[in-house]
Amino acid sequence: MSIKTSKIRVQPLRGMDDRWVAQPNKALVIKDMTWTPQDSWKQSGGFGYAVHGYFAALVSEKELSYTAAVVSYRPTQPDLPADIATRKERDSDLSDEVEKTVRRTAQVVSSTSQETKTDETLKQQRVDSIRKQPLSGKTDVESIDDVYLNYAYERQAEPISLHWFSQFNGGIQWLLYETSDNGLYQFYGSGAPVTPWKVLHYVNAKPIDGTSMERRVSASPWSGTNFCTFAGRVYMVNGHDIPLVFDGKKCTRAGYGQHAMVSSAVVNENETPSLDRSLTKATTFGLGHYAYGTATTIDATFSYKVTFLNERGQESPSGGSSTSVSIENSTTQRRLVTVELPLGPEGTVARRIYRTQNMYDADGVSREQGFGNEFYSVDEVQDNISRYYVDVHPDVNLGSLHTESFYGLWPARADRIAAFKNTMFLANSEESIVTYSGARKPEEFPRDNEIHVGDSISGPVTALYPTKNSLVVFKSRGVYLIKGDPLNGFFPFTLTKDVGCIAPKSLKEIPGVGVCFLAREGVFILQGALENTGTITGVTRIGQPIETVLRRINYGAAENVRSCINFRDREYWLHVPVDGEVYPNMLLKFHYEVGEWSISEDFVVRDVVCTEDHRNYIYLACQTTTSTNKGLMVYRSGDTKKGRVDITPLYQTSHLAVGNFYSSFDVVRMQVMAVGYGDNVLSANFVVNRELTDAYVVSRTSKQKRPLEDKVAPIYGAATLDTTYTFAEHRPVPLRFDVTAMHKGLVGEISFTFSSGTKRMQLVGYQIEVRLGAAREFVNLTELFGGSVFDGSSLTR
Amino acid sequence: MAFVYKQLTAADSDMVDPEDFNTNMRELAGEFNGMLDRDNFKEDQFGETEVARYSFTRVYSHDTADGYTLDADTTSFQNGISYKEFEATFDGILICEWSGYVEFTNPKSPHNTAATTAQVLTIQMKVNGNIVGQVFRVSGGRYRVPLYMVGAIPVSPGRVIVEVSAMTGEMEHDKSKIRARPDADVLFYDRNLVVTHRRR
Repeated sequence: MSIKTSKIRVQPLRGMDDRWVAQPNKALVIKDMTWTPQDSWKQSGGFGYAVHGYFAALVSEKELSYTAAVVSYRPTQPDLPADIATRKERDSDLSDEVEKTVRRTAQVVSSTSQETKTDETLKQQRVDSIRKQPLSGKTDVESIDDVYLNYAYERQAEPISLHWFSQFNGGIQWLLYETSDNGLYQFYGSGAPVTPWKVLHYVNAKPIDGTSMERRVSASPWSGTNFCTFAGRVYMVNGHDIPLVFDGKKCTRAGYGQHAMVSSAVVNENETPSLDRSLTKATTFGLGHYAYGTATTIDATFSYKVTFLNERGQESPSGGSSTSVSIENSTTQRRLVTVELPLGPEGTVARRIYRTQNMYDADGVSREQGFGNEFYSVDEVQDNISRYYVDVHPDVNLGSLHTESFYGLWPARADRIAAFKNTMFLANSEESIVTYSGARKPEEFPRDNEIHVGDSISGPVTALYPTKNSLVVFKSRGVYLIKGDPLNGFFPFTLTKDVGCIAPKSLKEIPGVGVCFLAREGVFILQGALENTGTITGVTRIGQPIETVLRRINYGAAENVRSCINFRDREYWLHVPVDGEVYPNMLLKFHYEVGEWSISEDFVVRDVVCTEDHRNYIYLACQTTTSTNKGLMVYRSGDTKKGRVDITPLYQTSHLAVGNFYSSFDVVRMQVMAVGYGDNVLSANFVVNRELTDAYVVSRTSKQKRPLEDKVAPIYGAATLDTTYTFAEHRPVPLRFDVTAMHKGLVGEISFTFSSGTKRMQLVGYQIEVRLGAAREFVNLTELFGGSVFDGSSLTR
Repeated sequence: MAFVYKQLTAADSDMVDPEDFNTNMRELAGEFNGMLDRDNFKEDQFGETEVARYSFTRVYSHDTADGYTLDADTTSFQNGISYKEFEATFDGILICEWSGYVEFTNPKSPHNTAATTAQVLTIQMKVNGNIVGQVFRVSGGRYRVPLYMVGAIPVSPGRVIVEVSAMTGEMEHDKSKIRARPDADVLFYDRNLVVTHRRR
């Protein structure tokens, strides 16, 4: 007679929910896993170097030069690998025997290089001779690459910020990054594997390598440089360095930080020897009026202004007008004026000259009071070299009126930046003011273009984010919208003062859902059309299911939080520092298609970015820690390591209570529906009644395949790709685990843990068989099968 | 950033599924057909020997130092100044340049009192009948005049005819039209037609 059991099926599996009582299909912990559109959870990817390694013996010193121009492979006299010790430190598995082999190999290579051969022949010989060496002492070595690789990023300082952008509708893509030694670089794949970067240069040709020019680095929690793309250029601000704009060729200063200095203007006089003013008067052109009537002379007075232009056509404000210059014209000739032009800062390509009209009318009456501040365009000097300009323009030949209030300096200390409706918006983390440029003039900030957002008690502006028809301004305690357009003006209104963003770089927009951000109270999402369209615009908290994880965040280092959207896996990634760390060391993943959370530990990064082309690669800026190497890394769905640490997928179900809280049950069997990957095992264990230790000291295991049908399935490492085998298919298969909790006593709640070590695993659901229900009353055998029953009644007879 | 990465690494003892291979192959296949860029090829990576002939452009020309006489009474456009006909094999843009110089045999100038009226010359360049360049009413005030014109037009694969034609005469008083001036031919020298067919 079989034992009567009840089957409980849990499917589909959902994400983390660490609340005391969660739905049965939720998980207490999900690590290193990702949700798939086939409604399952599989192991997540990991990350490794963005470029592969290289043989140091095959690379010349010049190539290894930190910032030298990239050259092709040109083998030279090799030295013994100087970095054996470094690699041994990194790879503790590198045995002494292997080290000897490597050294011996290098000597062989060295001897062959004495011969006169072509570069390519020499290179190939070296590769061949290295590969022929026995690699005894390291049995798991499949190729020389395993023990003899150097990585370019070992020679470069740690990357601390990342930005990806493209030009020409994605035709040219850029990955820019700053390094901890104050440099600014671009990823340059053609230089791989030796020098996969190029240093960016300032307009004066100085490299921004941390020596000639440098970028700010801070050990304190800091959101770092903020980037914004406008018209195919990328603007960089961090509040400390000069604002930069990179156009794909060079960096220049964004906007102007100083007014054009006041120009001086003098009347052309022959007796002024320092200037060539041979032409002092003219009959057909010149300034002012001719004298007429009985007067033989007439006076005229002018003032000048000069502005600078950079190569993007952005104009600086003028630095005030020159002192007035007065001339005296006759009845037949008019005077000329020479203006001494100020030189603009580097990046200036032209200067514009403005002038008042004659401040005396034709009758010689002054009109300075009324028109002394009206400057009209005279000319544009298209260089930043000429020192003098001879003005011959009569008033009637002047150009349009120059409105000084349309121009302004690039705001100092700006470290928040966003482009919205062809307008550049700037803010800094010390004020509640948002400044915006003129339309299509991203580097000209009129002095009146300021919006006061919120007030000082709602904290500093932490981020600007353009989305839909609004620019969202996040403060540490408040969310505001800036609406409007350049034509009719911009205006702010308050969305909420209850919650704000504390991590500027936690902001990312989930496609079709809303803008996610980290607040002091957890993770929130800003949803709605941000318009009066009937769709409610509001802020919703989405972090409740992982509240215990969020409590571990070091909110004092919230400025170091980073985020990105993993478009491939449909995840919002939030990298946070936990457990007192300063830099992000835990990845919180919000699987936005199902609205579920999971985590990944030891995900130590300084910055992260997802390329917005068809590749959607995620690049990570990593530093040297116990779990990561420094350098640019890339996330790959099939990578089995995250830096130095293995990907170890784990799914722990929520505490499953069968029946009511006071009833108990006994588990007799558990079946997992998992994708059959082959002979690698799936491990299962469980805890009962929220105990701290697993029920089994050693987890139960099962191969991830059907025992009979998949018995002859091809297996990596054994199968040969000939007619002996045919391909198999990874599809869900039931895996049976016979378990018991008898040694644990009465079971009120049970939570299963599934893992697969460092191998693949994909869970679809699980099913448990339990004995439950009220205990049957004791039944005497004689009552059941016949015979006398003592019921006390005989005593009364 | 055409720097692609293997997305799947199979482990020993895993079952062999062709999707393991296809996943990685798709990653590479996505970069074909125009996606490779400077992250794959350095500057100066390729010399002209590595590039197949006519990969980017193909140049045709009609170059002659022989003279050509345009009769003085040619008051409507006459072909034959320069001519090039070819079969375009790809879609692209055609950039046509023509240069040469002309001699007016009887220019009206202070040194030549024989000429009483000013002669003008108009040259035009056509691609399959579409005018792409024109030098309009060059005045015969000098004996020798250098000329240059350039034009561009998109073309599809097929027959392409590039021809340069010219007309000459003297202006009516109201400058509205040209009339024949029988006493002054125009001589063309060093006619050079260069047609660059650039692949789209």
